[in-house]
Amino acid sequence: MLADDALARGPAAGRWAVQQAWEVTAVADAVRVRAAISEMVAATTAAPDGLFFAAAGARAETAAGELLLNAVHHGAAPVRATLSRGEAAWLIEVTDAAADHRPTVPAVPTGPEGNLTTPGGLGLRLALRVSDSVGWYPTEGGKTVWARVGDRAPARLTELLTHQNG
Amino acid sequence: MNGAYGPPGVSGAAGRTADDTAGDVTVLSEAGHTLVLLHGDVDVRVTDDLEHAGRYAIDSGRPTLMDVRHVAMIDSVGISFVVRLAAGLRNVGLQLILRGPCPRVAELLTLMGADQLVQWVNPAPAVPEVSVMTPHIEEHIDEHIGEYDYDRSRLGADDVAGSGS
Repeated sequence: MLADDALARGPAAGRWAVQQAWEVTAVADAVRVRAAISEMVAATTAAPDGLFFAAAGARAETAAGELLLNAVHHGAAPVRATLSRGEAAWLIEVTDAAADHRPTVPAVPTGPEGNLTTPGGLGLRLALRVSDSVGWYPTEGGKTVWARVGDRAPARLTELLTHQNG
Repeated sequence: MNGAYGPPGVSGAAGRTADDTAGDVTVLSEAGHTLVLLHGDVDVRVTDDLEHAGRYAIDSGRPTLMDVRHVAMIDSVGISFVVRLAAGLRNVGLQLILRGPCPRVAELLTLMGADQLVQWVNPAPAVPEVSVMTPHIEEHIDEHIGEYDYDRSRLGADDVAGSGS
């Protein structure tokens, strides 16, 4: 099981060049940016055959979507997102103005209690599963949450899915 | 932070709007079971429809088949819905059966550790183990489900228990 400390503290290591930036004000924006990031990553990163989430575009889409949704639902405006390119990896950063809301990773819901759908409830957990790493750090007047998505899927992801594949 | 910020919203998602891609959630009351059809982007935009479908399926107290073959994208809201519905059905002695293939859904359920909560018919190739069907369930599905290829014209209005946007 993942714990809160699965989130790295501090900026993502490495050198990153911003490719594009967006402002996000609503869920509709988050959906569009999610799609844009997926397309940009997929267009420049080879998608191997086999597992669906072997493709960097799919992992980036999921990670970006969850970070954006968390910021829109639980953060504070303005929400800004960037996609950056590094050494064999992409960096998705989402910054919002809520400094007092620490990112948390809830448990997987396996009981019928409560609402059947909790928006964003599993977002960070999902982002952690598909990303190389996820972290956050406070910024002046807010915080930035980031996900590093490698060109190649993380070994733990492929091992888990391959193991299930028998 | 570098980069030029565009207007609120978008750059790079040419030709598509968020509303264009929003998915559909449909619940059908079939003989002996509940059928949930998911289509398109199953994400935060269909939260209310998912909640309605989940409550209907739980309240009906019948086996539930969820057709995920035409899911284009699913986020944490959608996966949470699948997991919670499967858990809710299990608690009353029922099982959620997923009609695939849909590798995205199958892999996400595995990554979330929830793949054992569901069974698959016509399973996703990536996760064949979860497809193992008990004979009576397979017989039930063969008898009642057949092929729903989202031909809405085949579905009588009286059969539609709820529909999404």
